Amino acid sequence: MTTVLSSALPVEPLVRVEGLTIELGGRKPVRLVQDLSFSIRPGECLGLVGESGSGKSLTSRALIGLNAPVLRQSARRFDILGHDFRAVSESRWQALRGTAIGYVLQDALGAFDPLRSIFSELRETLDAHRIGPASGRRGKVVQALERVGFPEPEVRARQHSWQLSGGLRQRALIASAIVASPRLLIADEPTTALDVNIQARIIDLLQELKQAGMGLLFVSHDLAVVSTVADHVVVMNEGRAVEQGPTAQVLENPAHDYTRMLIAAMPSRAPVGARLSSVALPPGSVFQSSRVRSAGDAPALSARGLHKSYILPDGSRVGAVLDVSFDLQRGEILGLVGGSGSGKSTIVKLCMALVEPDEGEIALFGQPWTSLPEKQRTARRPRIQLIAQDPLGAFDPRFTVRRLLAEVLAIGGVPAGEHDAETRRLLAAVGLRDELIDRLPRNMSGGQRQRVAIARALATRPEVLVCDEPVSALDVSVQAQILDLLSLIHRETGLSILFISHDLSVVRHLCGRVMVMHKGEIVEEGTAEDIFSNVRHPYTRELIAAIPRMGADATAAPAAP
Amino acid sequence: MSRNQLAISGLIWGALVLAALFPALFTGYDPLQSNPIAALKPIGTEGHLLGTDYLGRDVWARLVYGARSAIGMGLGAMAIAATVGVLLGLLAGLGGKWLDNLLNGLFDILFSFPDLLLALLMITMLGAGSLNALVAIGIAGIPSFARLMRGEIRRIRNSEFVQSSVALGVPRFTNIWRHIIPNALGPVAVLASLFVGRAITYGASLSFLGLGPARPTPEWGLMLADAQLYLSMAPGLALFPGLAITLAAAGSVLFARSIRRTAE
Repeated sequence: MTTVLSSALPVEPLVRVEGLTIELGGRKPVRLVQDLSFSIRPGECLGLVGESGSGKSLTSRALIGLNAPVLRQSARRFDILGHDFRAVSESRWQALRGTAIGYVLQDALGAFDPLRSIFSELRETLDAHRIGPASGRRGKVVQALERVGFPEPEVRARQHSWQLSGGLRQRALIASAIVASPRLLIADEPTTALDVNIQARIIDLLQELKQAGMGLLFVSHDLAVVSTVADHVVVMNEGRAVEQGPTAQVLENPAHDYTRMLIAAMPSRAPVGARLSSVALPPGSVFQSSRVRSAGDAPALSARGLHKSYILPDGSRVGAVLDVSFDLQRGEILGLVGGSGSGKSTIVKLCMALVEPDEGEIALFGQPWTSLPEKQRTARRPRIQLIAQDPLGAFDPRFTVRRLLAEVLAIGGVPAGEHDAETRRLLAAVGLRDELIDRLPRNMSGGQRQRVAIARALATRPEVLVCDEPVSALDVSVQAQILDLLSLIHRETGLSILFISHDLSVVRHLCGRVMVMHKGEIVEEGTAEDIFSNVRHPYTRELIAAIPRMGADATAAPAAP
Repeated sequence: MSRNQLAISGLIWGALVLAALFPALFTGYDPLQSNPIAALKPIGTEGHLLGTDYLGRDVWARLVYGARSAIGMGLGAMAIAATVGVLLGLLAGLGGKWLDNLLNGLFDILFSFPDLLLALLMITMLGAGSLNALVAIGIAGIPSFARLMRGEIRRIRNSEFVQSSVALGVPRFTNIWRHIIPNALGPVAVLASLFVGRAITYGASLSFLGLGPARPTPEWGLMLADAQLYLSMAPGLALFPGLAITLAAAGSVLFARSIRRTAE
């Protein structure tokens, strides 16, 4: 760890925090972070793990003085690079940011100015702090980009952030954080919005930076991701550190129930099909009227020779889906895995008949579906339902839960007098309390929203459910509850489910059969176990290798059972 | 902050509406009653707190009675601009490509003239007069509403929640009526309240130029025009109508700002 530096001297920590408390002022102060202590040394990575609202981002922002002034902050000790940073002026913070501490945000698209090129964004940091002679700054920018593995930096840095893929954008963002060679890098959920294999590369990059002697604060909700890089972890819940210590020790011997719950909620650790969460599920009887009773034996969805391409603004065509055929059998859960840009989302839109295929067609229970005119299709739409990644965007912002569900019940022909009882039954089915019935979606938590989305989809009494990354925006423990709920619904109602995800471990947990999609084609198909134990396509191998594993069970996890 | 703004704008507009409906509550004078002996009395004269004009009419009374035409102008022009603009925007946003291109071209042409110039153009066709000024300003405001409505409709039509209600099987017309239009109207309400203030200033400008109501109507723009000759002797004659116009416009801007958050 300290090979670069003289081993005779004890290494001074870059950051030493003792008893950090952050409060939201007002008459009744709310403690958002309470009595938190940690330190980070050069060449060391501290992982800060917690779910949304745990105070982890507030803590990381406190280290660069970016928290809003309404938040009252106090600490017994708050040293950064050997200096006391309690109650210092904004100009001292400004001198620190970018030069001594680099900060990487989750949303790389929002972090860049869309009007400026990557190059000028990176150069701005150097110009603002007057680092080195102006003539040498160009070289420094190129160097930083090379260091993060940005291809052809001389040429591609002239592009704008929105012209880059998610992975490249994230690399550019990390480059902008390290361009002035800071001694500490803070990464707040740097991989959350990324595909697994891009995530794996970003993690490798963080690992390299750590080995080069940079101190690292890695903030994430994902224990598995953090454990691949961090030497120490702090597990936070509701503003407190419930557990902290060396990574291996915390993972192997979690002392606190909350940590144990986090570990158990990860699908990659649990046996296939097992419950992930200990939260009570609704009784099977509430699904009575939702059971699927359709006759015949045609597959639920049957896609043949689908092609779909889009026209780019410059007139060229880009193929999103190239000759895809598959059958979703009745009552099965079929997984569809692939990175961003693989064409998954286009498959979702085609299945929901929201876009027309250029060629080929999809049949719904043996009857025409994508080839129907919209007027006739509207009547059949209740049979196939979508659960989207972002439930907030999928609801009319002015509608309460009651109105959202009533609208759908009316389409399904339920008389108005029964709406209330039926709405309550559906809420019970997805494990929500009645009180939420008059709530607006924006006043609910992510997990509650996703439950409402599931309730709304069930309200039409569908026979097919298309789930488009339904848990990727959720905290691990909530993700576990939703996955449990989906598999309960599947068991009780006999619905056919097409489950789209970029997370192989989730798919493996839930699905009987899996398809792997890459660049618009289905490159591999088979039972989940088969795909994991007997990989044929190199892309699948890459995906499996990229699943972050908790330090200790790296050998035990996805190998053959 | 926004609650203060709402309170201030409520106060300003409450007073204006009251003055427009019941002017006699605020003053005992007749705004048309001239009295040459008492002409050009200074500010603070007993019985004429804001002084009198060149015909001896009470300035305060003329201001109070002027509220009616100002408010009528603001709300009337806004009603024309918003109704026609929203309908055209709806057509462009929901209609086919051909209709959209046609309407958009039209908006572009109208948009290339400044609002006030467009209003002047209209009034040269319609002729001077207070109703004509109102119609002219209303027409000049149509493109901004149509543009906004079209953009909102397009945005909401492609939003995830509309796509998801299509997928739920909500019929097209219900979708438009229940989800697309109500969500588009929020920003339109903000523009409408901004436009009321703008229309009041434009109305005063037109009558300042002699294109609005004829003398001796108590109207703030006319009062300003008449005050020009006496600017050095009686600056209050110009100051007070100017303040009234500013206050009315500020009230509408403040109101727009305070409803902006809820509307969007």
